[in-house]
Amino acid sequence: MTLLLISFALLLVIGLPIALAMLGASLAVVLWEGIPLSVVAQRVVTGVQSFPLLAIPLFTLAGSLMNDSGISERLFSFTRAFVGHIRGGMAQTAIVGNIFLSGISGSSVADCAATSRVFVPQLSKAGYSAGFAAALCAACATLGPIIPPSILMVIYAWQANISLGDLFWAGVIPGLVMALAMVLLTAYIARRRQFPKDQAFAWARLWTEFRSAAWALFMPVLILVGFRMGVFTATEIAGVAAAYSLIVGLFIYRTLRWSQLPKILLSTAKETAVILLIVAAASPFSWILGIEQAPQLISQALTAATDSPWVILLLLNVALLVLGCFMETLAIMIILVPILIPVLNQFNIDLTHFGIILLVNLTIGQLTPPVGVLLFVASSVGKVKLSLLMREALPYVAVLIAALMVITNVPSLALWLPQALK
Amino acid sequence: MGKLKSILGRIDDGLGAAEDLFIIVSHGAVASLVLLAVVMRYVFNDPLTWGEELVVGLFTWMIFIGAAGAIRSHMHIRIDVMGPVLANPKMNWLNTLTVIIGIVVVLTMMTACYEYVLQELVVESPMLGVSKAWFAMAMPTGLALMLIHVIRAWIDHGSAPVFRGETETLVATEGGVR
Repeated sequence: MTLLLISFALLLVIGLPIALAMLGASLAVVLWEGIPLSVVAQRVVTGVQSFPLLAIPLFTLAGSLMNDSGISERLFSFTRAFVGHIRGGMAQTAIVGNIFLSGISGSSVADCAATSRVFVPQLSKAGYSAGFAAALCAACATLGPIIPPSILMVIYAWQANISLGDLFWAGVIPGLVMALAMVLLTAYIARRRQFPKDQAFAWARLWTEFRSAAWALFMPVLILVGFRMGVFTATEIAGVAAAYSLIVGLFIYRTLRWSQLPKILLSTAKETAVILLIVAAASPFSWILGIEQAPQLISQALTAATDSPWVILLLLNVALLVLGCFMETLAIMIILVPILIPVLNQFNIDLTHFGIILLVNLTIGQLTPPVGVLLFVASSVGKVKLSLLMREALPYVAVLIAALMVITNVPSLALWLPQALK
Repeated sequence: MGKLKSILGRIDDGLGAAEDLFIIVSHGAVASLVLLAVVMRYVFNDPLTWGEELVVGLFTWMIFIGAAGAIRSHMHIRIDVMGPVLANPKMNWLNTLTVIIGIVVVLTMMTACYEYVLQELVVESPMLGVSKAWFAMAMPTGLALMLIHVIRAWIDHGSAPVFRGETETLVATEGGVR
């Protein structure tokens, strides 16, 4: 196990892509131990031959088709009509708009780029500081993987062998709790800094903007209701969502052209390939960790430390937050989940609840330096100095950690909806 | 050397174009087959028994060819914190070492795949009744393409941008202020 972890860490640090670093580390162990090399190849290829994972390219395709139909502008216009009249209204629009955007795209990096592109110039023009504007856009994007659909949820549900429908539903309330925490912080900052109010509230405008955005708003509803019915598989629902997005873009909004399709198919397939190559490469990696009894070692260490599931969750939260500062979200999830599942089962911790805790942790990690991918994206797209942005992002990291503590300590926030709908 | 570089460039571009076409067609086919399966199962009550295996096979090919294509588009994910360090011209030796190690990993993995494909030659898939080597071949093919793209990028642009990740690419194209 030492050889595996050290070689993996070294290959990562020298700048090899995560998938190749995992493969390199697994190959090193296999060669060292004299295990046939074909075992690694077999594990990698069979690692992606799974029907549930097909939901990933299809959800990504659905989100990309919606984005290319220009729905983010419609969603933001709708939320602006909804919350724009309060103090700091434009900042609140970015948060509330992201609740809806997360329900469509499923990728926090995509959401962050879309929000920063629209809001950083607008907020700066309206008198907000550029650092605040970019930090807000980065913070809002943490909602992406929590509010369904979410690619990370598809992978977690597959790893933990739990219902993806339950996990999607479980993300709704925690996502809203995180959004509420950010709304309250923004309201406080807006009062202190005397941020301007946006346009006055008008029912007529709200109704017009709602009608304009309704087809896009309906997509997450379609997905969640599809799961609630319990007949369709996740992959089938993702396929229907992709077809729905195509029809809305081509024939209802008429902002999408057939000629755009090849480019969208190409980029979403490559995005999927990058994610799934990591999933595939993790298969021999986890197998080696398994035969080296890593789950048992962690379980023994934790059992020796405590017998309380709450202390375990607290320890895991701290460990995940620290790891999230240094490691890539997907890599942490893919490596840790197979190791942690036996531990969680031993302590009777609900895997759906833990899935939400894990995702909230990891998305907060995207907002903390040095590996804060959302900070980099917001800084680049918004053209704002990283140091300015980091200072303004700190209060958002603090309230998101507070929201994480609430979500961890009140399991019903995640588990009530999936249970109530059964 | 110049001629060799130009020939390699042309081969790589040709392969890249073929790869893109394959990715587009396979992704379109995967999405269409999933939808067709939904219609057949829920509307006509006649599920496609062979459909799932074909879709998973296509998907496997799409992943490994897509992973090769992602090298050309600089979409692979690596630890972003190393971005500024690796971008420093003084660290060029480290970038070169990384590319060489990357090539060694890919070549070793191709050897592993060769052994695996030989094993799968005699195994038949349960629904389609074809050799499972057809599925197993996806990975060595993708790795071979990846190798060509890596060598071309290394020769053309030096070692630094070969494994550049999505965020670094975004930062480079958007020209963010550090």
